[in-house]
Amino acid sequence: MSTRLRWALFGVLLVVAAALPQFVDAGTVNRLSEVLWVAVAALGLALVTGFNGQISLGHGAFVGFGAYVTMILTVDYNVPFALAGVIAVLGAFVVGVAVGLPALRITGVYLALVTLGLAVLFPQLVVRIGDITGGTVGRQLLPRPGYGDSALLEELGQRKFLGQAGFRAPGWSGLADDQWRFYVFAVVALVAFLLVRNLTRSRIGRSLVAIRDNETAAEVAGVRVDRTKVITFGLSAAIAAVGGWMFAVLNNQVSPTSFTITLSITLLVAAVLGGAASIVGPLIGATVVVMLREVIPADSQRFSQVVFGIVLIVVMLVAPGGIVGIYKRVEASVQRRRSLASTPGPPDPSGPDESAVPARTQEA
Amino acid sequence: MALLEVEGIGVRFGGVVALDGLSFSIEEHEICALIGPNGAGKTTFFNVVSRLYEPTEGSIRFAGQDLLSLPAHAIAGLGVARTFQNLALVPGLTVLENVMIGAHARTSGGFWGSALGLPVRSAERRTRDDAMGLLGDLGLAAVANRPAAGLPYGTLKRIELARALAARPRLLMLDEPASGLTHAEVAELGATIQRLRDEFELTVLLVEHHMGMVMSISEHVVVMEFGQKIADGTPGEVADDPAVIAAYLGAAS
Ligand SMILES: Nc1ncnc2c1ncn2[C@@H]1O[C@H](COP(=O)(O)OP(=O)(O)OP(=O)(O)O)[C@@H](O)[C@H]1O
Ligand SMILES: [Mg+2]
Repeated sequence: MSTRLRWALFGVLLVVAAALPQFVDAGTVNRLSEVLWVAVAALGLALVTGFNGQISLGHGAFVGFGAYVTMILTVDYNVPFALAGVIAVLGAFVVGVAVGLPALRITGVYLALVTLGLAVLFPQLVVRIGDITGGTVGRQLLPRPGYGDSALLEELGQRKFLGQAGFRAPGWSGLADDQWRFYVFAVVALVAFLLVRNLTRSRIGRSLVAIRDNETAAEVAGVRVDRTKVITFGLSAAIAAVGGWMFAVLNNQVSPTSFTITLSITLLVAAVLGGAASIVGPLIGATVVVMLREVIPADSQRFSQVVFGIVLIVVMLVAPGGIVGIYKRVEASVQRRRSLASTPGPPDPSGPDESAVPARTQEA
Repeated sequence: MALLEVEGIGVRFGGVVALDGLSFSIEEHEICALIGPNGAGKTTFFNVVSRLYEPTEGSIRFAGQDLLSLPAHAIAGLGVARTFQNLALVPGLTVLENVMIGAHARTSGGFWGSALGLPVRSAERRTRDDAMGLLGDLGLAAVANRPAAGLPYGTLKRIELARALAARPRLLMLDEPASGLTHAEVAELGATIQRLRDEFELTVLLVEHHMGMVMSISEHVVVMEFGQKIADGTPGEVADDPAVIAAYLGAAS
C-alpha cells in the first residue's frame, strides 16, 4: 500500500471514529470503547510477542494490574483518573521488567507456560488481598448513578471515598459520558498506536525483529539483546495496563473474573488474528474479537474459550501473519505479477561451483 | 603494531578440543586467509572473536585493546564485523533493513527517542541512505525492499556482506563467502573483496575453502588443522609447506 493511500485511510478512520458516536446509541458507543481497550492491550502483546518473539500468555494480568491500580487510586485515594492512569502504567512497566528479567533465561514454549502461570495466579492474588481489591466480587469505581442514599455514602466514606465525580464528560464538551469516554479512549489509543508505530519503524524496532528471528545476528550487530528484551517486556506490560485503565474507566467495576486466563487468550487471539507483527493488526483483531464475543452468549464462557482456541489454531495454521499478513501476501503477488508483466526477470544463478570443497554445515 | 593479535587461544566443547593454543596476528590493511580442512576450528575462532564462545585460555587484542574483556554486543562497536558460514539474516525484515541492522552499533536512538520519533528522523535517513549505497555498490539495489527470506543463495551472501560493511568495520571477517557461488560469481567476489578492502580501508580475515580465490587475493595465509596452526606465511610459502600438503591430502582421502 502506498504511503499516501495509507494516510488517506488513516484520515478516513479518524473521521469515522470522530463522527460515529454522534449517530449510534450509548450501548454501541460503549462497544466501540471496548474495542479500543482490547486493541490497546493487544497492541502491547503484539509488541512483545509479535515483534520481539517473547511469547506471553499472561498479558491479561497486566491489564488487570492497570485496572486495579486505577480503581484503588481513584476510589481510595481520590487520585484523578489521568494521574491514576499514569501511575498504573509506570507501575506496570516496573512489574513487566520484573517479569521480563527471569524471562531472559527461558524462551519459547517455556516462556509461554510461565506467563500462563501469571495469568492463572493474578485472579487468585487479587482475591488473597481482598481488603483493598474487594475480593471475589471486586469493587466499583463510583457509587452507581441513583445510589445517592446516605448510608452507602457513609460506608464509602469509611473506605476513604472522597466523593470523586467519576469519569464524567466535562460540561463544556456538550457530550454524554459515553461519548466523552470514547473520544478520550480514541485519543489515548491513537497516541499508543503512534508511539508503537514509530518504535517499530526505528533502529530499535529493527533490533526487536532481529532478536525475534536471529538472536545471534542481532548480538553480533551490536544489539544489547538482554536489555532490549527486558525493556520491551516492560513496555508491553505498560501498554497492556493502559488497556486496563481504559477497562476500569469504561466498566466502573473491577473484579477478578474479568482478568482470568480467558482475557489473556482473548488478547492473544486479537493480536494473532489481526497480525501480531503489525500495527493495525491488533485493532483489526480487537474489532473481530469484540464482535465474536457479542454473538457468543455471555453465559457460555467455556464455549467462547473453545471458539477462541479454535480461531487461534486455525489462524496459526492457515495464516500465521493474520489478516494483515493475508493482505500483504495478496498485495505482494499482485505486485510481482505486475513487475513480471513489465520487465523480464533475470535468469536464476545456476548451481553451486563444483570446484569449491563442499563444507560441512555448522551452526555459528 | 598488528591489528589483531591472537595468543594461545583454546576452546573445548566437552571432550572436543576445537581450538588448541592458536596464535597468529593480522596486520592492518591486509587480506589474511584462515584455511584448513573441515572441522579445523575456523568458524569456532570467528565465534570466539564475536564473543559467542568463551575460550578456556589465551588472549586476543584488537588494536591494542583486550577483546576478551568485552561482551558480545560491544564487538561491532569496537570495529569488527563478520558474515556467517550458514547465513544469519533476519527473514522478518527487508533486505534494506537487514543492512541497516548492521549499522546498529554506530548509530544511536533508544526506546524513548524512537517512540517519539522526532530526534532520530535525520539519523534514520542517513542510515537508510548509507545502506542503500552499499546495496547499490554490491548490485543489490533491485531487491532492497524485498523480504530477506526466499532470495537466491548468492544474493543472501551478498546481503550479509553489505550488512557487515554497514558497520564500517576496521576488521571484516568473512566465513566462506564463496561457498555455493558459481565460477563466475567466485571470480567476481574475489575482485569485490579486494576493491572493498581499498575503498573502506579494511583489514580482511577470510575463511574459505576455494583455494583459487584464497591464493589469488590474500597476502597472508594461516593454515589450521585440529584446532592448531600448522602453517603461517605468504600464499606461496604455505602452498609448498609439507604439513599443509599432508593436511589437505589427509582430508581428501
Ligand atoms: N557449538 C559447538 N558445540 C560442540 N562442538 C562444536 C561446536 N562448534 C564447533 N564444534 C566442534 O569444533 C570443531 C571445529 O568446528 P568449526 O565449525 O570451527 O570448524 P571449521 O573449521 O569452521 O569447519 P568447516 O570448514 O566445516 O566450516 C568441530 O569438531 C566441531 O564439531
Ligand atoms: Mg566453518
